[in-house]
Amino acid sequence: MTRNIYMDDNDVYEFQAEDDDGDDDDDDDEFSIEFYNHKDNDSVIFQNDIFCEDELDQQVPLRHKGIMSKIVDCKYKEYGDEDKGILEDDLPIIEYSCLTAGNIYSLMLNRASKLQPVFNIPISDVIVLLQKYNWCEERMLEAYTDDAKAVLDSAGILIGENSELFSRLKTRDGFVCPICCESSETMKTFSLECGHEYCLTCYQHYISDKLNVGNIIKCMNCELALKNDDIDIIMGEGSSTKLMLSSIKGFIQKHSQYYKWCPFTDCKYVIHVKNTMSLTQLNRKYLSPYVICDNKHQFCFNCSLEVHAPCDCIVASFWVRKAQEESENLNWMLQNTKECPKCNVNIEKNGGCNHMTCRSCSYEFCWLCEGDWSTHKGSYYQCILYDEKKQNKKGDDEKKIKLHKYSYYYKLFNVHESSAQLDMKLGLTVEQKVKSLQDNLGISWIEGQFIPEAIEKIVNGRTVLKWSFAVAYYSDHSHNMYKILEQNQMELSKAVEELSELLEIKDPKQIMDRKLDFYNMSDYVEKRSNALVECGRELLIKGICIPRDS
Amino acid sequence: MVHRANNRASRMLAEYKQIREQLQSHESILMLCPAGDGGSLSKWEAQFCGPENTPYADFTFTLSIEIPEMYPNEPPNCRFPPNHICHPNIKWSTGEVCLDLLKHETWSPMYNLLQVVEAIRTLLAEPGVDSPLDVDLAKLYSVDKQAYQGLVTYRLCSRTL
Repeated sequence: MTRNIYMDDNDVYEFQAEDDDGDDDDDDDEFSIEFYNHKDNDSVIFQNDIFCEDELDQQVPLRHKGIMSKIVDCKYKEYGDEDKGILEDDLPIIEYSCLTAGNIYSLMLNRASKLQPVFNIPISDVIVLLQKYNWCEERMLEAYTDDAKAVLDSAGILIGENSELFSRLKTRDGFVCPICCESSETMKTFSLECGHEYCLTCYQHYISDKLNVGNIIKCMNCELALKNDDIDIIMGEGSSTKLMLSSIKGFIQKHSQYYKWCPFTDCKYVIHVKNTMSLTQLNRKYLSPYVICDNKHQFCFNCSLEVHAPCDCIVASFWVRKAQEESENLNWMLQNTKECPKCNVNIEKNGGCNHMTCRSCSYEFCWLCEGDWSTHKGSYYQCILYDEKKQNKKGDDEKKIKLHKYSYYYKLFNVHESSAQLDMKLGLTVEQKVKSLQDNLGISWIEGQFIPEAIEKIVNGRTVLKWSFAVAYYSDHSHNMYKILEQNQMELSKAVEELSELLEIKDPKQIMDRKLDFYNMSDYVEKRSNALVECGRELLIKGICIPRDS
Repeated sequence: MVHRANNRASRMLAEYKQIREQLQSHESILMLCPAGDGGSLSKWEAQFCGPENTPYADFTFTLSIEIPEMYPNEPPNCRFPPNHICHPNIKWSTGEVCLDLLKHETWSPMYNLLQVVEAIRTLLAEPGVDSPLDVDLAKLYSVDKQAYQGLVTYRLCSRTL
């Protein structure tokens, strides 16, 4: 069979697939290993292994284990083929590191110890000062050189007193706490150098809420600041860290240009981009700054969405906003209604059998296959035409473009989103099977890695496919490029479905037998994804896709 | 962390004694006493005269104070009766008071009820025009003091009728 794939205005790539089981292979020759089929021997598989790893190195930024020092090279390496014309070699590189609030805090502690000789005050006081100036040492130094005393006073720092000798924690008999007006024989009290003494319980109460706010905590009766040691004495070891982390969180929020929380649920990582110039440069090229946290969550540093290529942030935000506005209605419609095959009125099935009669045009049809009811004679309660029809569905979808442009694209978007999640789950079960295979047949871990790789590629492929519908929605449909986009979408979705089918294989033995297919298919999916991303981007660059609110 | 349950009660009792002592010689605060049923110390009422040299000077004001469960770790809720007082930081229609001291973030357990009432009385003399509840009145205050005074006096006179 011969297939034509339209990659560009001018070029038509043609390739032959010799094996009929559907694993189409490389359609151009930029890679040294060109073709595989089942007859290939082990040595080729070995080569193939190497090739895939190389490929992985290029595509995925190296994972970094260290905390501060390593800079991740995350050039958004795209789409392989440099000779397509619109790809630039000099794509800006985002330099970033993945941190936690704790990492940032220890970095700040380092800075504080470096600053300490300048101020000549205890390090705990330097930390209070940093906290006051929101961890910005420049502002702090500037203010300090202007008027050191005023800075220290406003931060509530007392100098000159030998605070080491001062006993903050006391056990007192007959002391009446001015706050709770209680007294007992063994009342524990706390006071700072100012001598404002209160019982420990009242102090604990006073502090506990404030730990989450992150501001300097002061004596209840004057401006004197409680230092980290004091907080630990009152609240227990390590409590001051909580206050410090809250303060760091405030710092991150105030510097969102450089720092962003990973938007994934329960992820604690913060991405710190060092060269923010690269962000605008990427933007100008209709690319987005994708970063990966140590939990392998990939997201766009600009808009904190997931990877939304081929959309840029603007198209993606328009699409998301639209989806939010419409999804409530639409979700319900998609779940509960179908369109009458004849007059396209939305029909809700609120019970009963599958024999539907449209109230608007009186057409009788089957709820399952949406086909004419008269063809169902003899099997009223079970639609036998369903499976057959399912395969012809593509044709139906095409009709719907004209009817419900948005719901059409939204539906596709949704389908791929949920499919990607299903693929993830599916992949995990297969992976477990491979693990059992490892145990039983002694297949090495590295040999089983093609499964997670395939999962990664298929999920990426689905994500690209998903977002390409947003580009499609906002594009001028009469333009030739749009048709190329559609073609690319079709190719990718075919490839994705084929890979998905492979992943559905349950028998471990069979999985190992078809290992080569896995490689070929994932590779193909990846290439199709890249082609689609590039194609979508071209629509943006050429102004064919213009997001607007309708 | 469990706090002593009777914390509020003993503190309120101590404050009650202290207030009774101090009010005898206090010239501006006419009254500050519990207003709850059955001797409960969770609702208080205060009466004070307006500060000198302000349009409030010739009037007396009533303030109801509610003591929250977490007092003194939480600030008391203070409120004038509706349509009672005209002021840039007080909502005429509800009597809601906007004062920094009474906000959770700035409240300190060291403040007591007497100080709160005094602070509100001071607020009458020195409105915080930067964070007003009644924007128009605050504008008037900063643009034309005389008109402001006239309006306040007019409103206060009309309320008693």
